[in-house]
This record gives sequence, C-alpha cells and structure tokens, in this order.
Amino acid sequence: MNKKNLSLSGERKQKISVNNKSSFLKRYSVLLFVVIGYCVVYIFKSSVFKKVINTNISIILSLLPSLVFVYILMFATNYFINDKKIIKSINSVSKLKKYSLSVVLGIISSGPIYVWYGLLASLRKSGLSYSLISVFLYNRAVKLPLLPLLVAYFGLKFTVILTVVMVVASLVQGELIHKLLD
Amino acid sequence: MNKLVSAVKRASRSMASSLPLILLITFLLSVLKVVVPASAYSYVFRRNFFDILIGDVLGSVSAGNPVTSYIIGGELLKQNISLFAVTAFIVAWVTVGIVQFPAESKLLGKKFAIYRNISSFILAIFVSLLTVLLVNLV
Repeated sequence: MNKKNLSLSGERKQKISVNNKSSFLKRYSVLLFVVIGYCVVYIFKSSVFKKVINTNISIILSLLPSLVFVYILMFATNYFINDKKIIKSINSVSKLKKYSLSVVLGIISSGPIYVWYGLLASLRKSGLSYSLISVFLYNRAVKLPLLPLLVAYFGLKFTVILTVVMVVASLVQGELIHKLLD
Repeated sequence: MNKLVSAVKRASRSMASSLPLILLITFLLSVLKVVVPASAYSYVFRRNFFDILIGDVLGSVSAGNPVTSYIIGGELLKQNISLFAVTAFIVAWVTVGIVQFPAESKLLGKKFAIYRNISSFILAIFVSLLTVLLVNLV
C-alpha cells in the first residue's frame, strides 16, 4: 500500500515538473523566439545584426515614456477605479455616447498601439466590449500631434477629410465587430 | 496599504505579460526597418488601378512611426503614384498591424485580431476612395 502511494506521489511529482516545464516554455516562448531571431540574423547577416540591435535600442528607448505612462494608467485604474463598476456604467449609456467616448480616448491616447494591448486586455476581462476596443484602436490612427505634418505633406483639405472619414470608418468597424463578436 | 500593494502587483503583472510581446514587435520592427529601405516602396507600384490594393498591402505589412508613412507617401506622390494608392498606404500603415498581430492575438484574442485586421484592410480601400473623391469634389 505504502509502495503504491509512494509510486503515485512520484508520478504526480513527475507530472508537476513536466507541467512546470511546459508552462515555463509557454511563458517564455515569445522571448525565446526573439533570441532565436537575433541569432538567425547574426548567423546569416552579421553586418545587419549591429544595425538591427541599434535600431531596436532606439525604438525601445523611444517607447519608455509611453510604457511608463501606460503602467501609471494601469496602476491608477487598479487603485482608484473599480473596473467592473466603471465598465458596467459605460455599458449602460447609449451607443452614441459609448462610441464617442472611445473615439475621443483613441484620438488623445499617445504612444504606439501595442503598448495599449495589456491595458485593453485587462479591461476586456472586466467586461469591456470588443466593439469599443476596436473603435478605440482605429482612432489611435488619428494622431493629433502629427496632423500639422500631414497637412504639410498632403494639404489641409485632404487632412480634414481623411480625419473625418477615418472616424466614420472606426464606427463602421465598431458595428461590424459588435455584430461578429459581442 | 493592501489596496496599494495589490494595485501595484496587478499593474506589474499586466505589464510583465505584455513586455515579451512588445520586445518581439520591436525586434520585428527593427529588422523591417533595416532590411527594407524607404526607397524600395516605389518599385512595387504598377501605376494602374490595382495600385490602391498594392498600397493597402504595403501599408499593412509595414509598421513604425506614422511620420515615416507620410514621408514615404509624399515621395510616392512625387513619383506619380496615385493619391488613391498613397492614401490606402498611409491608412493601412496605421490601422492594419501584421507585425503587431502576434501580440494583439495573444492579448486580445485570435478571433478579434483576425476580424479587426481584415476589416481594417478592407476599410482602408473605402477610406481611400471616399477621401480622394471628396477631396476632388470639395
């Protein structure tokens, strides 16, 4: 009996260690992919490797302020706001108000789109609809600080019309995602 | 105090789960930036109706600061690429994210990432057509 128990606990231990290994691999698979990517670039084109590293460092440095901002925002929403309550109240207002809020937040949010995925994922878990996430993400394309530059390249008329059409397109996408996923 | 610690923990956990994906995107971005020079874009266009689709595809697979897309777009216009194609290019650049797709799919769901990117790709063509038609009309 004791022997049986011992062998069972041994099997369990083995299972746990296999599970730990696979969850470790799962957790770090993306980082592993990045490291392998660097190795491949180094092996096949070592001259490009240094350029890629330098470009990567400059991109990461330019990202730091946005990452800090998003972290502070994540902390603030966790500390001051009850995610579920606020999303419940967002979901209770009219569609027009919900979409307008997503459009405005999307336009005024700064930094690259991917630094927002983490925050949006945690809001999604609290019940934020996919349609509002998609409207927010589409409007991240309307960059207020870059509008003068767009005007310089393509003219004021083009910039104004493009901006308006893009906001309308974001609402179309929101409705589409709502029909498909929410 | 407990609330503060738990808020810090939750924020750190969320950030830690998205950091490897952000690193992956920055890696892919830097490879793209180094391997594909800005001048390479103009060689792909055929100067016909299908340029709008080519602009859409190019914008979708490219990524980076939108300023780069404006600069490339400006250069393409100088090389007589149609405004339809250039508009589709700059719209797809900021709305479709092939490079960001792995991160988007992992954090927000595969289905959502697929639907959002496909609809953004199709919408870029409509946005381009409507914008240029309205610019010519107004």
